[in-house]
Amino acid sequence: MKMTRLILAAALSAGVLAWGTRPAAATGAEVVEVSAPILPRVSVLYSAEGNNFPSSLADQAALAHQAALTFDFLMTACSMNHSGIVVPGPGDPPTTPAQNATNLETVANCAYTDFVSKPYWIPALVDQIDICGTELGSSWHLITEADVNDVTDADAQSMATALSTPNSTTFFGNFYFSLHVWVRATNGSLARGDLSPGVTTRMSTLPVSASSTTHYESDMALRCIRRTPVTP
Amino acid sequence: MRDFCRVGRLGGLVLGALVAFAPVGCSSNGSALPGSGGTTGAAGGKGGTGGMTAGAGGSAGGSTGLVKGTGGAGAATGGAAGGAGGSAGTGGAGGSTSGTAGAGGSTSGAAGAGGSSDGAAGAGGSSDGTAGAGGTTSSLGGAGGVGGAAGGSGGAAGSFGGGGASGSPPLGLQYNGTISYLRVRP
Repeated sequence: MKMTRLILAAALSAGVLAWGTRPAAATGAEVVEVSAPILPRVSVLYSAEGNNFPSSLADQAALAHQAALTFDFLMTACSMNHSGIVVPGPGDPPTTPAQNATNLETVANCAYTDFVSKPYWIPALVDQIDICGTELGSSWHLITEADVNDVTDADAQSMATALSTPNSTTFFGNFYFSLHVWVRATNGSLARGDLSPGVTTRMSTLPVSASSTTHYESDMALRCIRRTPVTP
Repeated sequence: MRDFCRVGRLGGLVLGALVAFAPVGCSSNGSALPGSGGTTGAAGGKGGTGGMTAGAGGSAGGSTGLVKGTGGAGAATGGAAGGAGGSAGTGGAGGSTSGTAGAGGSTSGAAGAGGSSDGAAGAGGSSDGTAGAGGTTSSLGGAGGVGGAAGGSGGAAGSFGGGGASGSPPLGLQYNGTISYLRVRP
C-alpha cells in the first residue's frame, strides 16, 4: 500500500510538472511610454500671448488645443506631402524600426517646415491646462517629478537610443529629439527635467515664471507619459 | 483485502507507466513529445515541455479538428516555440529566455506568452484570437486576430496593439513617435 501511494504521488507530481509550465510572470514590471513631443503651432500661439492671453480656463484650453500638434495628427497631415511615413492599418504587421525612425524624422521635419511648430509653449498654458490628457487621452499625463525620479540611467539610455535615428542630427534635433522636458514637480510647480543618460541631476527649476503668458523659447519638449503595469 | 491490494498494485503499475512516458523533455538539448489530444468536443491534449536548455517546445496540442489543445511550452533557455494550439486552442508558452510562443488556434485561439526576455509572443487566432503577452524584456507582443468582429487583443507586455489590428510594436521607438521601455518596479 505504501508503495502504491508513493507511485501515485510521483505520478501526480509528474503530471503537474508536465502540464504546469506557465507563461513567464512579469509581476512588478511596467511598460513606460513617453510620447513624442506635442509642439505648438507658433502662428496660433504667438497671437494669443501677453495681453492677448485668454483669461478664462476654457479659452486657455481652447487655445492650447488649437495650437497643439500631436504626432498622430502630423503623421496623417504630413503624409500628404512627404513620402516615407508609414501608418499601419488594421491587420498590418507592426512597423519596423527603420520605418519608425523614418516616421520620426519625416514628421520632425514636416512639423517645422509645414506647420511652423517649435517647442515654445506659453508656460501658463502648460501650467493650467492638461494638454497631455486632452490631446492623448486620460491615461496620459505631463511627466511628473516622481516619474523623473524613477528614470534609471538604463531607462534614459533606452530613450536616447530610441531617438538616435540615422538622420536625427540633420533634422530639428532640439525639437523632436530632445530629452529636456516640461515636468510637474512634486510641489505642484512647473520644472525642467532632463531625461538624458549620464545626468546626475535630472530636475531643475524652470528658468521662467510658470505664470508667464509669453512663450518661452527653449529646447524643452512637452512630452507626456503613461505607465502601465504588466499583467502576467 | 488481497483483491484490494492487487488492484492497488495494478494501479501503481499504470501510474508508474504514466511517469515514464510523461511528456517532459530532456534536461539539455532535449525535445519533448506532444501530449495526446483529446477527442472532438473534449479538452485537447497538451504539448510536452521542452528541455532545460535549447530544447524544442512540445508539438501542437491536439490534432486538427480537436478543440482546446494546448501547445507545448518552450524550454527554459533558448526554447523554441511551443506548438500551436488546436482549434480554439492555446499556444504554448515560450521559453524563459528568447523563447517564442506558439500561435493560437485557428479560431478564437489564445496565443501563448512570450519568454521572459526577448521572447516574442505568439499570434492570436485567425478570428477573435487573443494575442499572447510579450516577454518582459524587449519582446514583441503577439499580433491580434486577423478577422472577427471583436478582434484579438494585443499582447500585454511590451505591446500596445489594438484589437485585431497590428499586434504589438516593439519596445523602443514606435511608429507614432512614442518611446516605450520596460521597467521592473522595486
